[in-house]
Amino acid sequence: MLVFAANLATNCPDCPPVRAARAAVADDPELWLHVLGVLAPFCVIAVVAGGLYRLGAAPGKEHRSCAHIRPTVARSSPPEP
Amino acid sequence: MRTYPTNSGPLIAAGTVMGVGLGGFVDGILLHQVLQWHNMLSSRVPPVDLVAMKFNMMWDGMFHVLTWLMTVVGLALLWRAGRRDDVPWSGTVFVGSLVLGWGLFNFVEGVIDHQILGLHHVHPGPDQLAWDVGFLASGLVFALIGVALIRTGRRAARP
Repeated sequence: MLVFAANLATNCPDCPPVRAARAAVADDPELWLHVLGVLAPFCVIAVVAGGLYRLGAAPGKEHRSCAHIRPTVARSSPPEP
Repeated sequence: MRTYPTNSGPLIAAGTVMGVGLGGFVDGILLHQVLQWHNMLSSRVPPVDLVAMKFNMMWDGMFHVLTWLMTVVGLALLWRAGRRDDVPWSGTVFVGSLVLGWGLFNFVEGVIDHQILGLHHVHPGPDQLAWDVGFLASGLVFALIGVALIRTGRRAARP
């Protein structure tokens, strides 16, 4: 195994298996299916995250709060002189 | 007049996106590399020789590029959420969002890549369907735990 790895390290990136691998990647007949397969889950989840961003902004039942969370000054308040 | 932060959306979205990225890293590092159960395209191009292995490694790399990008986007969203006064800063909500994101990743990736496109299976072999269903179930369980934690965190912010 070590001899194989050493041989690979010495000869690559121009050894025949690597050239064959590059050719296989370049000639991938189902490139777009593979791109779709890798990308699609992330696209779906990005849409879900966008929905969560909006849903979380809904006021719900959280109008009032208690002292252990960070208070803020209302935007409608006039600025301090 | 004093008001209190009530807009959990930015924190939940940040945690979810980051959870997707980190959950993807668990899949890629643990299942692809450490355990070597599958690779990104191992059901279509089985890694039986060096050429096929390198082909799969290239697509594993693409997968890791996307998980890295999701993690970075999640971090940027978290940074922006932290600078907003209307976002309640809750560790429970954030951890719940991370778990929700991880669960969503397992479920959505399982449905699309394992079941619909058949690019790979969790643990190929005679019991691969059981492993795939278990992966989907883990996604649902994580998502439910995440939602429960988010609800708990939001409830704690009420008077």
